[in-house]
Amino acid sequence: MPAFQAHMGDYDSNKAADQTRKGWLTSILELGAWFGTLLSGFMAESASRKYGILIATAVFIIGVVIQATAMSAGHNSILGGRFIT
Amino acid sequence: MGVGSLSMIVPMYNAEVAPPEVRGSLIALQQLAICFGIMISFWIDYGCNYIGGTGSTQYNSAWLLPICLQLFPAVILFAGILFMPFSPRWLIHHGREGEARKVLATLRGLPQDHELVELEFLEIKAQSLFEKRTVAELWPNLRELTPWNTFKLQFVAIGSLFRTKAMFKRVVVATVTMFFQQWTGINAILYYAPTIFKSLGLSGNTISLLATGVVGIVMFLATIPSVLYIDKLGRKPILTVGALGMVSSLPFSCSLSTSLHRKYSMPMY
Repeated sequence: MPAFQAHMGDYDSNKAADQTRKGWLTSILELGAWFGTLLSGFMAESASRKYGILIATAVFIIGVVIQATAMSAGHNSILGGRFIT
Repeated sequence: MGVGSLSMIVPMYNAEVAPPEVRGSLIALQQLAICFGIMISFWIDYGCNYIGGTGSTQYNSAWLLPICLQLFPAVILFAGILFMPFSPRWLIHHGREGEARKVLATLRGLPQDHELVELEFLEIKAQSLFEKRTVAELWPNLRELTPWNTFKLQFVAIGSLFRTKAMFKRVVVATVTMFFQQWTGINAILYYAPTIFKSLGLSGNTISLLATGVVGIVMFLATIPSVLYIDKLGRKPILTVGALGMVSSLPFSCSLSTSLHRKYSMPMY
């Protein structure tokens, strides 16, 4: 993806170090999901299932917005955004 | 974090709101919806790759648009859940029994004093009482339903899973199934499908994306039988058939990728 490479070049080339970064970019979502799963039982019980879903969706939306602003905010923003998403 | 919480709370909510006879199908339906979503996202990504051309003229929207499109279903869920009732099980567990009865009656489309509503209400109530008494017996200091206690309870409850042999056996069954289900490497295959297909000698970004799109369709189709049959055949036969499918296809994909690697002398990732 040339357009993605232009902004996130360090994350998307065939160099070995960049492949590792790409791996992080891919798997940081799972890392965040693991954390979210830990919190979910607590949320579903104390805030109710309904509001728990509402909170989780809001968190998801914030994560997506952070990812979408990565172009001006830089590399860390897309990593952070994926973690929160 | 959002995805992790949602993937736990949504099936929980689904199962608690659904009538018992379709519970299994509904969970399978959620899996089907996930596969459908993955399939759609693959094809959206494939299409967006062409915005502004695949060369140096490619627009930023080629990757920004797919990211932003995630907002669309999230906003629908956010607005939609506002109109949904609380889970009857949660209401009963928190002592809001009148509301729970009302919600149950609405969900089942029956009058509040109907026998079936009463039966289900009592069933849930019994389960909730059992849970509360167990907590009170095992951890008397955590019996009150405060948020902080709920949080702590999560962790001490995990500890109790390892105390007795009968419990431990259940834990082993659940963990080992999930562990090996993940250990088949299905997620690695899905996430790295474009890279894998590239290393198989398929050339160009577009062909790899196309191959990913086909993976999405196959996954979606493979989930349909389990949705249809999980309540009729039971959980175990379906799990066995799925595992057998995995066993038969992994050697195939393994030997195929090894032999093609040599042929095209591609770097291994």
